Amino acid sequence: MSDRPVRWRSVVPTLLLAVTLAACGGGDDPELPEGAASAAPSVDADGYTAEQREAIDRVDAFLAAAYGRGTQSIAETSKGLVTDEYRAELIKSNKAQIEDPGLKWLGPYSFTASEVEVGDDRASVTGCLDLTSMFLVPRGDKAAGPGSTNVGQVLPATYLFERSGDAWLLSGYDDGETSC
Amino acid sequence: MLNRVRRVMIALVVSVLTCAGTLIALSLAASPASAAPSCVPPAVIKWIGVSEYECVIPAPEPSPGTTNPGGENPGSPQPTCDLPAAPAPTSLGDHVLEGPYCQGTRFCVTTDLVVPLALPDGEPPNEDSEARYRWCSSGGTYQLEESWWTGEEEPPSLLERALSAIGQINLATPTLNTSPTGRTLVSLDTWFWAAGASPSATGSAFDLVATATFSSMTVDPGDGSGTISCPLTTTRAAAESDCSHAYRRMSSGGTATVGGRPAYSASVRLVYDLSFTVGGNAIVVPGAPATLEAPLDSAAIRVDEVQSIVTDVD
Repeated sequence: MSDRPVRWRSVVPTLLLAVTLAACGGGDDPELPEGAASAAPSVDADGYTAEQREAIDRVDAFLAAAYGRGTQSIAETSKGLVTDEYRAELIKSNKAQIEDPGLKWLGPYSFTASEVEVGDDRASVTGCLDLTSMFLVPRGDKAAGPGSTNVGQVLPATYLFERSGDAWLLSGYDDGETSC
Repeated sequence: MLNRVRRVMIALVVSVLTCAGTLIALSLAASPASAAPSCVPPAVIKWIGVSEYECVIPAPEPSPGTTNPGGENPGSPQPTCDLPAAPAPTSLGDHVLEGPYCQGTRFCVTTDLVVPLALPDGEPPNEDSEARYRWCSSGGTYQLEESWWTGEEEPPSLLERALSAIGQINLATPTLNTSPTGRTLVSLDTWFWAAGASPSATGSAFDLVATATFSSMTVDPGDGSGTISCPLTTTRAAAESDCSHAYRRMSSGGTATVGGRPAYSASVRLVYDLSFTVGGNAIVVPGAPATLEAPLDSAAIRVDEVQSIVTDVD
């Protein structure tokens, strides 16, 4: 990621030169150097392209559906976010581990992406999922207390996506290999 | 695809989990509401960042549950944790105020309020009171154990409660009686009983009840012949059949006195077995004493010898 600002800086003088030449009528049909625009896609403050940001946003949307769902079932909250096949797995495990035992997630969570790879049909987002203050509590509880189960960890995580039409759908999960 | 491969690898490496997982699935399916996540030991919870967990068997490593290596405390009845092996409470960040420290075989830390924890029960005892939380680990993640307000005493440990409950047990001092009283004769059966002794007594502290149940009664006649064992004998009638002793010699060398003459000092010892319950359920309290003795009582008894002189023979 550290190379992105360097590449961006190298493009700016080129663009300025081209614009200056055009304004001064220094030549017919001034052309930007070939490939300049594609080599420098616009990036956000974190250095991610719009494509990468879209994938990160899909992680955030899924985490809200998973950990911020309150008493809703993951079957309700994961619609449109997960592939059918993976969603069936998630619904099964969440029903057995969270919903049927009468539990819900409670607490703050945050995901910090560290690596985003986007291809034509597949994408992956790797980062650290902070669940240090996330608890499993009885569904009716409004706060955690003794007897609640605390995750208490920052998990290295990789979220895998498949392209479906215009959207990325979560298709799998890996234990990330990054250090959190 | 990579995801699938990795999942298969995990399944293979942790083959035992097939059984454990089945057990867990069955237990979860049959669990009542609000069943906390759990794994069948030695498997532990491994959190998955998609609102799931797996049960995995951790790689072997020095167990914090063993007694100190090197036999530093070979006679110690309470295993302790190996503090250098304590996992760092990094997940609790700057909230850690104290620890890690040992509590039994577990590592524990004390923190201030961590969102979204509930405040401790009850009102803070004063305006300066702050919430405190104890988190403990058996080698993995620290889990919340209890909460309290500063300014109030920390909840006593199980052992402290047990010792306090034992202290509440009132085993009235038995009174050692003899028959004949105060003076007996060589070769005559002398009866002993502990008047006022109870078959059992209880004491409680907080939610813990300690029960002392009669175990043994021994009487030392004081003549150096050794002790005699008796069932719980609290009456003269019972003593006749259950607790008697015939002195073989006069008490001229005795350490006590009766009527200004040397006497033996007889004593009685009552031992009770201790047991503990919380909420009616029997519990084991590591480190708690197994028995309790009633206060000793003693009685002076003079032993005389009766000599007969034959004066006439028909």
